[in-house]
Amino acid sequence: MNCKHSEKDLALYVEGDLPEAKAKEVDVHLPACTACRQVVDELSGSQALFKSIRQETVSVAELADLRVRVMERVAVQRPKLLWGRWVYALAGAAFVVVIMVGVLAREGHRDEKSLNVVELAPPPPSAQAVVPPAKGESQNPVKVNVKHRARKKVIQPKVYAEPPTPMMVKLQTDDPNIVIYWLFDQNGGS
Amino acid sequence: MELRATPLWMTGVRSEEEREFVQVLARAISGDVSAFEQIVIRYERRVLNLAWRLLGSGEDAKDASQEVFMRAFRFLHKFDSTRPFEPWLIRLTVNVCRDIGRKRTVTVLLDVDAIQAHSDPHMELSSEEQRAMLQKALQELPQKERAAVVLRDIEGFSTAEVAEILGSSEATVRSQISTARLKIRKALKRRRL
Repeated sequence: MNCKHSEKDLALYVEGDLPEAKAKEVDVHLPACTACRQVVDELSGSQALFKSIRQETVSVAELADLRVRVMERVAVQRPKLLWGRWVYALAGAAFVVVIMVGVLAREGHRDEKSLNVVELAPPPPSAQAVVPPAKGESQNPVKVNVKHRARKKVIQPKVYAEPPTPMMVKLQTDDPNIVIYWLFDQNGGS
Repeated sequence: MELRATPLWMTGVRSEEEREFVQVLARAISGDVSAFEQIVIRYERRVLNLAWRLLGSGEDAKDASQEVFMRAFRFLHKFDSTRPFEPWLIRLTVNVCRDIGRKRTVTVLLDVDAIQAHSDPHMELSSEEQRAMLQKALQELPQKERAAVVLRDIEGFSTAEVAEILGSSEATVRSQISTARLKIRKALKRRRL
């Protein structure tokens, strides 16, 4: 075809799919162009035949057969689907519970740790404390930042924080009415 | 030239029937099997016809239609009920037919070439022969062109609707349908219809 209108345009034109402006151009062009008219006639004929497929439709019996098959499968599928949705819901809930338990356990552990620190920490210090000088050192008192000392205390074992328990030795004499108790502290002093 | 009215699902306006259908759809989404059956009854003809035209085989079309409704049942809870249902179902049908079309071997409905060899070129073809030749011409088209031309020329959707259903642009759809129409014309001319 030597026309400015391609066969593709004409294939759209026959079914009204060409934009309006272009369709008007074809309307004007067709009476003067035998080749384009022939293409349009052929396309109109083939399209009319092709669209006759519309008239062929499936039978009522086939539709009924399809419906029965679909609804049978739906009846089987439905409980699975519902159960499937419950499984997902339960799995989700279980996951949330596990996460919450984990978070709570961790928080509880943190609280326990912070309680230990409170137990071990010295009473709230003043901004600075005075430490007496050791032997051989200058008689001038040394100012120490208490914050550093408090931190060191936190890592000390718990045993140092508790008061020493006194030991007791019980001596039984020949006379059952006389019992001697000997108490002494664990540092060796009695 | 054929003038086509814009269907309701493209305008957003809902008729009384559409409003009732929306209620049926809501019940089906919540798991009501009888409501789902109403949907099947409403669309079974459309789905089966479309599948048959896209696949060219009655048995494949039945299998495809079953699969379409089963997928619809499975994924109905994911459907956005503010959107029109029909394009969703038609898109599902096109996708299922494309999947089945990929797997199957080429189905020949009738030996069209044999008919042509025995036919007198001057004798008018019987409607059965005509039907077989049209189906063969249709099945010879590439899948995308076939889907576009069937939706536009047989199912009667507008170019804009076809573009929405196939998820492509109107320009692409226009190109596909014009190419398909020219191929059909050529195929029918070759067979002296």
